[in-house]
Amino acid sequence: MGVILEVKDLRLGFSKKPVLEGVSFNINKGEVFSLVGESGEGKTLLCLSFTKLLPKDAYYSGEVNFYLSDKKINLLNLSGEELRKIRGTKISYIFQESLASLNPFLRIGYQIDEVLIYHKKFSKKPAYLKSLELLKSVGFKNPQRIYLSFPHQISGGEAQRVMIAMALASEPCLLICDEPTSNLDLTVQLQILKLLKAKQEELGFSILFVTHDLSLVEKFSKKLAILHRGRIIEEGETENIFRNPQTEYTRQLLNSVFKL
Amino acid sequence: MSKGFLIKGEAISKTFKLKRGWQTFFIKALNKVSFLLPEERILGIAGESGSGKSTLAKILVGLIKPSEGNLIYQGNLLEKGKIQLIFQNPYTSLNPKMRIGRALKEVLYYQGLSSQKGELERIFSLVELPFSLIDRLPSQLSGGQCQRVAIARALASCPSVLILDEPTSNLDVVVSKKIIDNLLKIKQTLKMNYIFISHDLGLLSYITEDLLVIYKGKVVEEGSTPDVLKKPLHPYSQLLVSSAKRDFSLGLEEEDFSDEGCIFKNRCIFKMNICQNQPPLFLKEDRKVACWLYQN
Repeated sequence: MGVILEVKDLRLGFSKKPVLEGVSFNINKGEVFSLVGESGEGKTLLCLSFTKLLPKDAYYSGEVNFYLSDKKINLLNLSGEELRKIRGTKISYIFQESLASLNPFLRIGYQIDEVLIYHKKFSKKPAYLKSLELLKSVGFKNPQRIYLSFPHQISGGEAQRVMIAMALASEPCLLICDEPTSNLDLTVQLQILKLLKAKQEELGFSILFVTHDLSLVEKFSKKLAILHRGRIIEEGETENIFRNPQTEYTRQLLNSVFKL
Repeated sequence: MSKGFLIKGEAISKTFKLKRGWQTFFIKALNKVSFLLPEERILGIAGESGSGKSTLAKILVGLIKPSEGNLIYQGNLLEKGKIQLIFQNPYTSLNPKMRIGRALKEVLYYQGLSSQKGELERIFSLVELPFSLIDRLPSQLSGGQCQRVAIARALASCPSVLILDEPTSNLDVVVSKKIIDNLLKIKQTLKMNYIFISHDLGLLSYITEDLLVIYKGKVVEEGSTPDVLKKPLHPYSQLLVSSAKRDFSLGLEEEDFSDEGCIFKNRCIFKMNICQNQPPLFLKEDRKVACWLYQN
């Protein structure tokens, strides 16, 4: 088991306000790694910094090393052209608002085809068949209906499944899920997480799972890091942290979960 | 239960008309929902999105009229500002161009109450907001602070019933826990009644005493919260409880749009032949449950 992503002393922020003050962690191949923190802690900025999707006025320093077939690439030093080869193909994203990440003017099928044609060099007909197959693999019994729908015609949970299908279309090594379920109902949340987990076990990619809800992490990932005030204050096996939290903040987070 | 009731709903239905091009659809948001809000109890309404929870909340405050059914309020509830509603997204419920001090003063003014500084300070301390925020605009506040302002605005008119429609689902777990604790404290000091609407059963078990489980506009189970959560009878309540326990053994489901028979039959694991007919509410162990499993 090698490392796939290594974040070393990453600092970033805006001229007036530093957001991350030295964050380091490693993600192994085929592992689910969770990052937990409140809103405003810079979780999303951290995810975006990997492929330089940051706002223009943000500064950053440190290293983000991505290991691609044993070759070490520092993502923060890459140019636009090189980044485009990694972003969306090797590293895929799933964002919180799935309906907002889909183009409202285009049919869903067209948007999945686009990924395949652009990144995987499919031609039109095979792309269509592959898209239907992908939609089927994320649990749609009638993929044709979704393929022909516009984003506003499907529900939030369905849209999130479409996003998973789209992210998987390019067969990524690392999937970054930035609060993929926090806009959804509890029953649907669990369906999405279960689907993600099943796909991860089947295809063996790594997941960086970013959330503010500790209760979701417990059964979903083995490793956990807690981000607070720009630093990682606790990192380790999920079980250990749940059983024996070391810091006051972690205890507070655990106490805010409403349990049945 | 020997005490009186505050609000009683009798077979409330609401149908929305939807036009798409030349076609007209009818959507049944609520289908004969009956309930009772006893005095000094917290009623919880659980259900997933699209089940008609928010429609019910809006009907209760009179924002929309039910198509059928009766609502009976206890006498003084019909006075101005006695029932207040708090929405899910605090940013949309505040005027973006009005400073929050003025937003509060406006409520006090229209209620004919004093809008002196002392009164404002009292309301601010009630929701645990620092008084220095009074000159901010809603866009300069965090989501949690904004929701507290929305609660403060609702409390300003001294309501006796507060309806909370998913008040914390847009917020972080830590912030939402603080707000819920704050709400419980307010209830004790001001002797208020809450109707709490949410899809999170963990949250509802923390705050509510009675529970109404709604699915597709129909009540499927009704009883006291600890009872329902300890031993859910209806298959849908069972599904909700297991998802609140983060049980990862649930299956994937497609949405279904059939209206005939039991509304839950396409997702139900105990599906029988009799489910083609609509089940009435059966009484079982002090609870009401709409499922053929509990026929006798």
